[in-house]
Formats: sequence, C-alpha cells, structure tokens
Amino acid sequence: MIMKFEDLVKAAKDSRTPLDKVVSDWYMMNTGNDPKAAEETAKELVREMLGSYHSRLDRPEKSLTGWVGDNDAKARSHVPEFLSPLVFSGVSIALSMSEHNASMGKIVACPTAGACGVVPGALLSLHLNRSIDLDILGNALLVSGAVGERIRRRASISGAMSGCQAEVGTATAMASVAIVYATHPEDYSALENAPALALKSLLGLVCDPVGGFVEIPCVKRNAFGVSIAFTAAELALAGIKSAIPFEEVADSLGRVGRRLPEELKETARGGIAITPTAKKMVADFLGGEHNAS
Amino acid sequence: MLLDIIGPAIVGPSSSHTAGMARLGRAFRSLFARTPTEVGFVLNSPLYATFRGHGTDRALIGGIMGIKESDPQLRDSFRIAKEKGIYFTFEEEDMGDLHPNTVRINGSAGGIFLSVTGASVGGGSIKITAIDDFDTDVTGKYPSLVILNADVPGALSQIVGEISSSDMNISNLFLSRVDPFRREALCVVELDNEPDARLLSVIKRLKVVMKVSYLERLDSMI
Repeated sequence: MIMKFEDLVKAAKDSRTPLDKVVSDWYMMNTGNDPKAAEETAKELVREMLGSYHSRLDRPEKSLTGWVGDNDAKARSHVPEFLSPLVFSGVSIALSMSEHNASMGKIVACPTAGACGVVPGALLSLHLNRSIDLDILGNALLVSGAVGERIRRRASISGAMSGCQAEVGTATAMASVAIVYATHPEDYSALENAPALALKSLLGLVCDPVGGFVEIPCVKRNAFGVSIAFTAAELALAGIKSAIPFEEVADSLGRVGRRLPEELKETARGGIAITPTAKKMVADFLGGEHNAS
Repeated sequence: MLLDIIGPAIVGPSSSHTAGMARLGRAFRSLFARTPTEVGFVLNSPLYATFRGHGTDRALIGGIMGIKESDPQLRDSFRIAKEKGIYFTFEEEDMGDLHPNTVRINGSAGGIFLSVTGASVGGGSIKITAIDDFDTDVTGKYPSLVILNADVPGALSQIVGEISSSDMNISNLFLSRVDPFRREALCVVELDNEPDARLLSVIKRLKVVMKVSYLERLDSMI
C-alpha cells in the first residue's frame, strides 16, 4: 500500500495512535508479516547498536587499510567547547560505529554499512545522556525506517546509484525523525519537517571514497550527519517548516542522483578520491600489500 | 522493505563487498553440503580492484566455512581456514557484462567438485546466477531446492507431489529447460519452511531426478 510519510503522520494524528504503531501496521499491510515482529526486531536492533558500540570501546582496531581507527578515541577524550555534550557525544559515537565498521566490526547497516554511524549516534547519545529507554528508541528506529523506506522507494539508498546523499543523506533524515520521535512523539509538524530539512541540507553530496574503501571520507561524514540531524530536529521543534515537503525532497534526491556522473558514485574516480594525496595513499597501501606477499 | 532499511546487523565494512560475499560463500557451502578442502575464488575485475580493503577475501573464506555475515569471527577467517587445512586462491577475471560484484567459487573435496557463480547485488542481498554449467536465478531468501531433472512429461508433477505430500508449502517455483539434447531441466523450488532430510532423499530417489542440492535460507536480520 502506497502511503507517503506525511500520510502516516496524518494517520497517527487523526487516529490518536502512536506513529510507531501506524508504521508497524503499514509494514504488515505491505508484507503480510506480523507487526509485532517488526517492533521486536527494531528493539533488538537498538540493542545491537549499543552492543557494537561497547565492542568498539573494548577492542578498538585500526581499519583494514590503517587509514582510520583512532578518531573516535580522540573525540572521546575531548571536552566539547562549542557543541552541547549531547550532540558531541552523538558525533563521537558515529565515529566509533563507522571506525568499527571499517575494521570489520559488527554494526547495524542502517540504512547501509557505509552510513552505519548516524542513526546510532543520535539514538545512543539520547540513551547515554538523557537515559531514554532502549524500547522507546526502538520505536523511534521503526519510525525512522519509514522515512528511509520512502527515500528508497522514491529514489535510492545506494551510493553507487545516487551518491552519498542517498547514504549519509538518508541516514541523517532518519536520525532527525528518530530524535524528534524519541523526545516529542506528538509534535506532528516537527516529525514531518525534520527529515525534509535534514535531507535538503545534504542533497547533491557525492560518493567519492579514497581507493573505493568505506573509510575516507565516509567515517567523518557519518559524524557530520549526526550534527545535521540534531540541527534539523532542533529547527523542526522550533516550528520551522521545510518549504518543500519531505517526499518532494526525496524525489529531488533521486533526480539529482541520476544526473550525477558515474565518477561521483562510489567508483573512486572523482571527488577527493582522485586528489594527489588520495592517489599516494592508495599506491602506498597497494605497494605495501605487494611487499607483504 | 522497512526492516531492510533499519538493519541487518552485519560485519562491515560494506554490505555488498563484505556481508553479501559471506552469504555467497555460505550459499556455496550449503549447495556443496560439505566444507571444501580446496577452493578457488574468481573475482570479476571491478570486485578484484578493491577486495582486500573491503575484507571481501575474509568474508568469502568465512562463508565457505559457514561463518555468518553477522559473526565477528569473519575477521579471523584466514587463520581459521589455515587451522582447518583449507587451501584457497584468489584470481581476477574480466567477466564482461556480468554484475560488477560477481564471484565464481570453484571448490572440491574428496574428488567431488562444484562451481557456483553469484553476485552481491546490494545491501547484502545476493543472487546465485549459475550452478556448475546451469544458469539460475536464486536469491537465498527462502529455503530452496535446486533440482536437475529429466525434461520429460510429468517430471514436475512428481517432484511437486512429493513436496505437497510432506505438507510443505511452495513459495515460488521456477522450471526451465537447460539442455534440449540431453533432455535436462532445472527446477528451483522455494519453500516457506526448511525441508527435512527425508523429503530430500525421497526426491533424490525419483527416477526423473538426476541431482538435488539444497540451499538454506541465507538472510537474517540479526
């Protein structure tokens, strides 16, 4: 059944049903699967996120290339000077999850492995700093899934298809709605507007990974995604509306993605991936491999 | 759908270059129904270009040994394979128009040989595109029977008859003629639930059936 995200929000508002229940019923209507199972899975996935964060803290490893791996430790030992402790903790968690991913740690691909830091950054910072219950965060994750699913339907969530706007962009839109839902579940206007504001700010972002690996710039882009998600949630809660509704922004993402040249869609043939520094890093890594074998 | 967006929980760094590859390895293991002692991985050129930095090699080897894409042991799969005495190689091949992330897995054990070709098509999803010389289109989203049968009248009805008499429900069914000269057809039966060993052996004993392989359900959220 085709329902826009704004229709789901409207259904929740009109029927005075929590939005996560509307989303799990929508899931049932589309798949025939038990809505309870979807709710349980979302709650388990939040616990998986917390588990991977703890594994990362217990055993921080360098990435497969060795290019990233110590950014999260630096962030954790820094006292934020400009950002709020909550937002900075989200940024630091996003670095941890992404560096865990780059070192073959177990993460939750939400919506993809490359963008796996943003949503946990938002959710776990609320858990660790505001003591928001993991089950409530599970409900927020389910709602964020509806936002991600609508972007996938109208555009894409793949960097190879539509650039980084489809990965970190989608994750940031999902995180923004999760933040609003976990804290203000009945602010319907903010729920509708936060993902539109977040996604608009990342439209056009290209996918240009150095050497084709999910490390540079992916790890740090996840961190920036969290800060944008909190900004979008804050603006939406202030009553600021996106002039362009969310679903039309998602359409735009698809259109922009189609117009992006192949060089800027995960092929490592454009953007920062072809800078002299990037080329030297790749040559050193591949050369090192030859010497080792 | 919804749940694929918020998950699954997998070992990184890439759902298509790592998790999907572990699933392809597991698909091979399931179809081969044993652990190979020698295995050669032939990677399509675009996949070969970045396979080490994505842990594609560790994921494939791990999958061959039955290590799931959600199991952090994937990182140590080379060591585990060495301990088990599995010999493996990686080669590059320009596969032309095939999906960029295509790999062909050639494995053997005790004189038995199997070749499985598949692609990792995004988000950890896979597609098995060939088993030995036969083209297929199997996703591993359901427990699947891959049956090579005689291309004769009534063959399908005998196979389906055995499945329904064991009270199994068929989700999807594909039948195609693969070799008009040898009169062979390939039948893929996707089931709602896992078949028991009895059903597999009953189908194996049918006169119209030459070979049965079983592909376990490969995708899971956590």
